Amino acid sequence: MGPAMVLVLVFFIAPVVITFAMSFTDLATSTGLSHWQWIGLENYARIFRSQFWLTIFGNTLVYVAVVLAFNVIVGLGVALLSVHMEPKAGGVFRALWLLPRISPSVVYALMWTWAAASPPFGMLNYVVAPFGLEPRYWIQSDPWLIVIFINGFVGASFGMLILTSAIKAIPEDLFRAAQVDGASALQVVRRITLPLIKWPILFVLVYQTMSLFASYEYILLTTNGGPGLFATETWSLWAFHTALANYYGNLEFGYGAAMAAILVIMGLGISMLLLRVFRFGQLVAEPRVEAE
Amino acid sequence: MATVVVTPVPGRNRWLALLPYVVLGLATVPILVLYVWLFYSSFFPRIEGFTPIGGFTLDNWRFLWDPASVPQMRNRPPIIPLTVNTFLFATLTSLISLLVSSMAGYAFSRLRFKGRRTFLGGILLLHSFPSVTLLIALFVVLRTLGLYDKLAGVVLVQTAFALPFGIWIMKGFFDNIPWDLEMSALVDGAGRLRTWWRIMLPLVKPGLLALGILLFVEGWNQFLLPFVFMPSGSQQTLSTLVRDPRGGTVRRLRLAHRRRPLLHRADPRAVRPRAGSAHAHLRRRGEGLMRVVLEHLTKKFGDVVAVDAIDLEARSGEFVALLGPSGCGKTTTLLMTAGIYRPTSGTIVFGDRRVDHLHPKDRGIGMVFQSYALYPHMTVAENIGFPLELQRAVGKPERDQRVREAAGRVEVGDLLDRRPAQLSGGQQQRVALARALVKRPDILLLDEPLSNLDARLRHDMRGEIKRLQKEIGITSIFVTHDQLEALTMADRVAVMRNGRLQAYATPDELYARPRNRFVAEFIGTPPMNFFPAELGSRNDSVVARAEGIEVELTRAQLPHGEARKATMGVRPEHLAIVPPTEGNVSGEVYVVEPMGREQIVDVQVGERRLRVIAPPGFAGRIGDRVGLRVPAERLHFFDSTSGERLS
Repeated sequence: MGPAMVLVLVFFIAPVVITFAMSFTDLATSTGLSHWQWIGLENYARIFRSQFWLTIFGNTLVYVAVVLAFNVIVGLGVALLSVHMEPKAGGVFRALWLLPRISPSVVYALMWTWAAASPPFGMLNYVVAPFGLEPRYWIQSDPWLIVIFINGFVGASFGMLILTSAIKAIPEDLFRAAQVDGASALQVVRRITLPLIKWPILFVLVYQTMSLFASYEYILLTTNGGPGLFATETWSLWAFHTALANYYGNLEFGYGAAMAAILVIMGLGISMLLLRVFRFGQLVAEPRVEAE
Repeated sequence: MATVVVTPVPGRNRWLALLPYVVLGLATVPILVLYVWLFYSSFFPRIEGFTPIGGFTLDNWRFLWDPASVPQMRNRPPIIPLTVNTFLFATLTSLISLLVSSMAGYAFSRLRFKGRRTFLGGILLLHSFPSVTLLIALFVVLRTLGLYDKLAGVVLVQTAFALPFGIWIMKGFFDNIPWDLEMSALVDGAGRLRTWWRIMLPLVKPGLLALGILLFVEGWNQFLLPFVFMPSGSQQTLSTLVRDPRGGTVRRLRLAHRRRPLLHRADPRAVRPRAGSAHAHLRRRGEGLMRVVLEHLTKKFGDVVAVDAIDLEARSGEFVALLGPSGCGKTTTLLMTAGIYRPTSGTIVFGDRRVDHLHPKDRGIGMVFQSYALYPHMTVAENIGFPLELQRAVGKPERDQRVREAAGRVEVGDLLDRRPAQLSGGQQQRVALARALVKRPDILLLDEPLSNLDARLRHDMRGEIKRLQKEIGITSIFVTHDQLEALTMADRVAVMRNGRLQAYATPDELYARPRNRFVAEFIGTPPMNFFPAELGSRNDSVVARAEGIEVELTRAQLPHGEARKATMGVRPEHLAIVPPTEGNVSGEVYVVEPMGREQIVDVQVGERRLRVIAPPGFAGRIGDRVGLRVPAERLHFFDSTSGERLS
């Protein structure tokens, strides 16, 4: 308990606090660590003066909503299908679905960019050719499609892992009883499995929502917010670009920190909402042993 | 973990069983194609779609043994040190995270402390903070602590980032472990830390493994943190290498020209070592026999009063049963005696020592749980030996000797190498008994010890436990809802209802002179017959009238026999069936249940139905008229409102 508190405090909570504090300064490479000044809410005002903030905000919502749906639905689907197989086959499928997660993000992203490369190189064009689709440079023409798929396949494995173990934890007698009662496979899933794993599903939902709000890695590695101006830029990527990878070479830490702060407030709001649905209080039951 | 295979019922459409394979197979194609294609194309100079350009070659793999051949690699450190770095980084982060998150997960799952929920919710919300925007702040923290450009610094940062996830996952795994196992370990003499290490951790092994793999992979793939915080090239990891040839998007933070710490060094005294157990000097004195006294013991759960001011004394060597319907507070009382629950008020005394502030391990108790709570990952011998292992004073040879002795005593000596899952219910119960007795406790507690056994075995074990208790002479308390168990085994029985003690007496007394109506009804099968009665004086005696029955009683039987309303009770075995004209009252046979040795006959008398035990020879049929003889000396009278015994 103690070590966890200290670690989280020093390396997580302290940076969070510092970041919030930084959002009220003009800290940047041009000011250095010594010549910065408190500038109050100027950074926040600047964000909302930016002509792109609405685009980016919209992008973020679309990105989180669509990828979340992909993650949870596909993750649940893979979990359900793989437990309704021979155990070994199910294990093989789950291992395959884990591949995107266990591959280094850099490698996985490069694979997608190569596969979606412009003709004649990209493999994707050859796969879709029989369906009558024109060969194209997918990252240019359909950046969202690539962003959603690349994130979707990675994120699905999280839900798959959690939900598989949740399904396996259901006493087998319940499945037998349902079968004896005459339920079809589909009815067993709908009436027995799903209600019993409601909470793990909600946990996956909350956790993935927060992860997605904060994630930028795969977009950075594929479209990098493009093509053009901010077409696939999400809020966290924007913060990253502003604070750490600015085109003009002036890394504006304070401004980026303000963006991060807004992102956290967005995440916080949605998480609070989900935790309410989640009935967090009930999830954390009181321990029964009172000794000590 | 059970494997769920929902196989279709034979005769149903066989193709349905193939459906999952087809659907999942198709869904997996994109992933599969991507990886196969990557691997395939790595053996050719160039590839267009699926068509390789040029012949098969190993050139792309050459960097493994000849890094200098690849232009981008020339200014890079060689592969081997990078791999070592990566391995070190991933191993360290995953090990530290595993250790810390399994401890913290256990704490969040099992310990009570202030701010538990808040902190748990808080760390989940922390996760919504994009790690990348924390880089500057982390840089400041690392530099302040002198950990910038050091492996330790990056490892700690990565660990801290992995913790929220790890803690939540581990908490989930710990939540699923039955409480009995942990309570049992505490009673066996383990502290919380040892319970975590010896019992809980082995049981969450699958969880540890899964989390460990995930964390290791995460560490292995991490490129951002090492890249930013370990600018000296030699300390970078593999992922940074793959990334960098495309041109650095992530700029290194070279801000460290002026040292002006924004943060003060963390206070090293933040983690204070805990003082040794405050009760170390209160070791039990080991005189073997001791009485147990519960004084005004009360337990509230929120507003619900589970146990209400119970006073109870078990004399040295006595076998006491706590008897009552479910929810009456008997198990709560036992768990307070064991030290698992803390009393809301009242005291618990063992011998002449107050123990209600002591940890279970310091109370000198042995306990058998309803589920037996055998540790599934230990053999029978290890289970029995566990309490001794925790007392360091007992050496290995003596431990083996005592385990064999205890096992022999309950006749499981030949099962020592088996695991709990390979034992029958009766054997498990014996092992649990051996484990409770092996450390020679002063007091033995048993929570519904027989309820998981079949009827036959239950009967056998009833006698065996009673005999064992008398042989050892250990003060024992057991909880049961079965009055037959309580009456047959216990020296004294405490009857409880709604958290209150209803009666505390020997089985004979409970049967012969129940203190109130509840006890009278609860003790004895079939239960006592009750009817409302009017009491009145006549000359020198008392007369009771009920449902056409009129019985004359002596003054001695009802000393306060003034005229009043009362509840009259008579046990079925004390009523006798006689010809209709004889006896105190007559009625009609409602049903006859032959039991072999005897018959239970229900007789309808007016509005009421009376149960009577009749000898096997009774040949009455449904509808026959019979008389009933009610013996005056066997009647019980209770106050009709309070239910208290009147005599």
